[in-house]
Amino acid sequence: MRSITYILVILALLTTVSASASEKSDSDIIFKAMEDEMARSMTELKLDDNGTPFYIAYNVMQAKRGKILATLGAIIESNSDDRAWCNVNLKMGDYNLNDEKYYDKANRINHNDGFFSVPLGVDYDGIRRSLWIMSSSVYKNASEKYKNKKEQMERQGISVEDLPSPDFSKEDVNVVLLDELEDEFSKEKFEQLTKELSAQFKNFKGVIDSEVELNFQNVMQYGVNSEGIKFKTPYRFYILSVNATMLDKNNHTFTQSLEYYQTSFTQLPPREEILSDINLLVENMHQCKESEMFTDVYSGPVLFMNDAGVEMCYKQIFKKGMGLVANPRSLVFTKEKGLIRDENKSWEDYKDKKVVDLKLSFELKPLMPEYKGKILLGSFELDLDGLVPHETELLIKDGILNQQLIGRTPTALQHNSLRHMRFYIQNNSFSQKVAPSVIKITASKVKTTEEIRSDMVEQAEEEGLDYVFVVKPLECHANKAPINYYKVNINDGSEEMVSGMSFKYGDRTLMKVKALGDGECVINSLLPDYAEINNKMKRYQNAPPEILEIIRKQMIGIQGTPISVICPDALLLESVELNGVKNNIQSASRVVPNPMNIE
Amino acid sequence: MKRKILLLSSVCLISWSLMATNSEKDIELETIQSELNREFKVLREQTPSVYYMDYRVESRQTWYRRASLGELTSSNMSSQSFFNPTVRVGNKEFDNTHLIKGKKPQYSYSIKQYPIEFDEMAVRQIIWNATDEAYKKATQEYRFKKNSIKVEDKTSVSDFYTTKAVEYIEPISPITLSDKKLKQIEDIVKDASALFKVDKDITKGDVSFSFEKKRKYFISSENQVLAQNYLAARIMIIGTIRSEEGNQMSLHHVMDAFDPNDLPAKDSVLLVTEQIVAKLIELKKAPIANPYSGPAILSPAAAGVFFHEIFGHRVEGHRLKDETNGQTFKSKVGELVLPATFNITFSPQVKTYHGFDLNGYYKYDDQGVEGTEVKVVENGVLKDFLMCSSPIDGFSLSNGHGRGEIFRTPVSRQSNMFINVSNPFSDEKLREMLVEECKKQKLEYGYYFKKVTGGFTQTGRFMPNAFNVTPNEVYRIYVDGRPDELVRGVDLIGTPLSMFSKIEAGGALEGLFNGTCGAESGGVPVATISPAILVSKIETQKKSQKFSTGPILPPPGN
Repeated sequence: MRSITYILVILALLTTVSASASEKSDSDIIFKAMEDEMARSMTELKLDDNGTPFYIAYNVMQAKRGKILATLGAIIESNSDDRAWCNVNLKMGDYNLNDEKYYDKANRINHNDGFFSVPLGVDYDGIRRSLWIMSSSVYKNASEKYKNKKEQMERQGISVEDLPSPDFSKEDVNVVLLDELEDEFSKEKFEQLTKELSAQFKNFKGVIDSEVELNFQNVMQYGVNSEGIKFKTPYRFYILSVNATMLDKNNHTFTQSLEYYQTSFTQLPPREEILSDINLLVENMHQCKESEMFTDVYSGPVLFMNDAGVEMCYKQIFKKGMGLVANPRSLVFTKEKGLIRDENKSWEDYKDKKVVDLKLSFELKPLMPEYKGKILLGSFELDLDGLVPHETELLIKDGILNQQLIGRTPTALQHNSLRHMRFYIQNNSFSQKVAPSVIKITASKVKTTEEIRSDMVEQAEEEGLDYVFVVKPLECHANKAPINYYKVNINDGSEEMVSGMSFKYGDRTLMKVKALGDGECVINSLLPDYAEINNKMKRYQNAPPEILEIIRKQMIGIQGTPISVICPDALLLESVELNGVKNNIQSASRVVPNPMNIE
Repeated sequence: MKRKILLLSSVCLISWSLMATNSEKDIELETIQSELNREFKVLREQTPSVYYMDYRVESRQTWYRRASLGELTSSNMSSQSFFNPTVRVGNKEFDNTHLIKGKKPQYSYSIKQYPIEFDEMAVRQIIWNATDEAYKKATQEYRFKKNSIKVEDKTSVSDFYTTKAVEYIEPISPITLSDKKLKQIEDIVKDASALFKVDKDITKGDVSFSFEKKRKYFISSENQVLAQNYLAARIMIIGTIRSEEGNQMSLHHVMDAFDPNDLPAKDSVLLVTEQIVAKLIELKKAPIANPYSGPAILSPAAAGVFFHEIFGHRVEGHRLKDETNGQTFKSKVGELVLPATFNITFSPQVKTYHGFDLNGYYKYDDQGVEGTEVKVVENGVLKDFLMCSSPIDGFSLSNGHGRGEIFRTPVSRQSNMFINVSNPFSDEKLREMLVEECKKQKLEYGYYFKKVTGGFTQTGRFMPNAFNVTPNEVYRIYVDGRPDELVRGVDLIGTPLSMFSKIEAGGALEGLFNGTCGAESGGVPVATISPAILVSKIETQKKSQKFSTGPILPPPGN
């Protein structure tokens, strides 16, 4: 029998608006609709001999979302919409064995949740009606899947005891009601900002295409489940992106971007700072254009400075499966093999084993709202399963894997959620994924930048290299800025920018770290689901880089979970392969002169 | 004979004029034109040279509201603009769009998002980038086709027929939606959708409103300069009911007008919704029809869809150029293709029909050619085709039917289709004729197709050249005089030529069907005005069923 361990009500510590009586009443109506329908579904939802559900979770989301896009001071697109929908998760069986963690490939049975629109206004009957329709639909799928799973197990003589873990975790029961955040939506203000910023490109004749885009969403999520968990959590996020395109020496287009993330419109950097960043971006693009185009292959030490280390290495370690985010193995039924346990490669098998260099440790600090005066966007008070995260979660200690980040679906070794079900932003919308929060990366041994550079030169000399590479971001106010490669001459220490470089992170990239900086770098970023993106991009693997870039922009776009990373400011990897540009053939030049150049 | 009119929508309020006499150019148009001239001047000197260019710009504002079962479920507003250039390389006899025998036509696009508020520099830069892309693609295609063409593939039919210079500029439409009006609309859709709550088996009851306000520019190197407004307001009512055995059946009703103020008033929307709800409940209990072969009457609306799908798509000229197409009517010009009493005319410049706005109205098509009346069938004889700027054997001139969404290349498409018969029969007479025909064929009943949701047709050669019309309100008319019986679960199918030969008569009552037609150049608004028709033999097949056992529990609160 489940037990309620404690009831906790947290008052929002962040900027909130005082909840009026009518708002409270709105919440009450939404919760009552969810609770009343859940009570009915838990006791009465039954078909044939399948029994009633053992677990139901209902969520109601109310969202205001929008996008403003401008070029050269003119608005190209301006959209906003209001949506509300509910989500139903329903499980058959019990905690040890239920319809989850099972995929029937032969009959393609997989789904066990679903979405349905609910009224935009608070409407008790409307919400119940949507939950009623969705619950039936999800119940039918879940009971079919559960029955099928049990039958396959029986057929192969597999009992519940044979399974390495329960199918669903038992968690603490909380009631946490956070206040909603102010609706900052102002079409005029948002359009004014994007127009003013985009107009800055009128000063740069070499930029042949440019865009400034503001994406925003303000969401309120209400959740209840049959264990007694009840929560209300807000989420508001702004992404401001700046894209500029120029022609390189071979007439190929290249694009560089700046991205700014914030939870409040007022907290975005002042426009003067962004305008100055745009100037820096264009200057950087000109330098890139004039720089030597690297066409060779390099293998040797590479020094990543500040954001470059985070973007290119540390973030990649949070890949699902072969990384710090668990991908719990399911039972899979195939016609050929029958019922088997999923054989995907996973760090699940690396518990207490070395996964990164022994100097590195990774921990999560989800409740840390700021660090040394800097607001941490990865911080959160409540996850989207309604669970309050622990203050610290140790993931890797001195290079050895302690645990992976998991939700309520257990792995063989970890049976409880790390309470990190988070919002995942994608194309002006959002979903939910298990993802980190505030990541603190510490090093047991650090060096000054000078010492690190000296180590690098020493190694290069030993290996007979004429030059080494330093990778660093464009220094500006953006959360994400272009990352530049600099070739450092071993003989005279001179540094010059090179273009056309590419670096591919591999599973063993961080296994051998030569040195780490003694300074600290604090970054707010978005963590994409690399595994999912790689899967999507697989089908285009043979496309040329410029086409890949377009596909990446249009199909993948900006996406991820807001995270913060506190880490050493320098990362020297001992052996890295860098590849130069392959397509060095000059493309046809522009026939008609650029209209920007006509007086 | 006195002709009666069947009004399918409700009260029509004050209409407004789309037509413009004002020819004052706006600054945006001048900028686009000067950029086109600048680009064309350089590109026509290249090898291979550009011999024709046009620019299409479409700015659109969209408002949308949807309510489901009494509550608002969607509310959005968007503003977007697009730019799509056409660049033709080579010459009009052979250019980059040339069709290689046996290959399906491939269209390339260089569409770009475009400012919704005018800014000269932004406009010029977007145009410059898109034109460069279009020019490079056109050059590549042209060279490829020049190399691919075989001697036996050579044809005397040109790829393009240049049109005459024109300048037509409508003033920007002042019509917009105020917050007050939107609030009224929200009340209408909420109250109307609430009517679906009456039956527990109704699984969907949506009423939506949309208003799309477009301004389209067309500028070409042939001195065609056009600025036109296109407005489209719509109320759509959709309801779905579940039968006892779990089949899902839907009914819908669409109300279209150019101006949202001309849409039916709230009372009419409520009335139509009530009728749909009542019909759904009736439909729930209706028997499922078995496949049938025999006579049938198609109501004016059903006949409209039937003619649009089966006849209209086959007189779209560009299909007769494509060797992969069935080309049903290619060699039928001058021959009897319909009963001698039938006439079919396409008239894009007819704006209203007895007070109702016609979806297929436009002044100039998407290739800058004035939409002209085309008498396609006269006294049953095929006379002409719907033409765009791509000539076909024997028909070189466009008659202003080159249409397409901004994202696609325009091809010949339908506009307002008028079907009339020279010796119409009353409804009663058509019924009598149906009964007689049933008796002749020894059948217990014939069919009356009252309402249809739409249909589709295959015009290619690989798949059977067939059509499918999807009715949602069908009645059995019994020979023995029993009351008509509503049935469900049938689709009307067949092949075109066989079906045309079995049309026996047309009715006196005409009906209007407004809709959006989807084909290779995207969705274009069309209208059909048709009488009812009697067909001596039709075929039906069982509709593909969307099967659901529906919710397990009764609705909450019951």
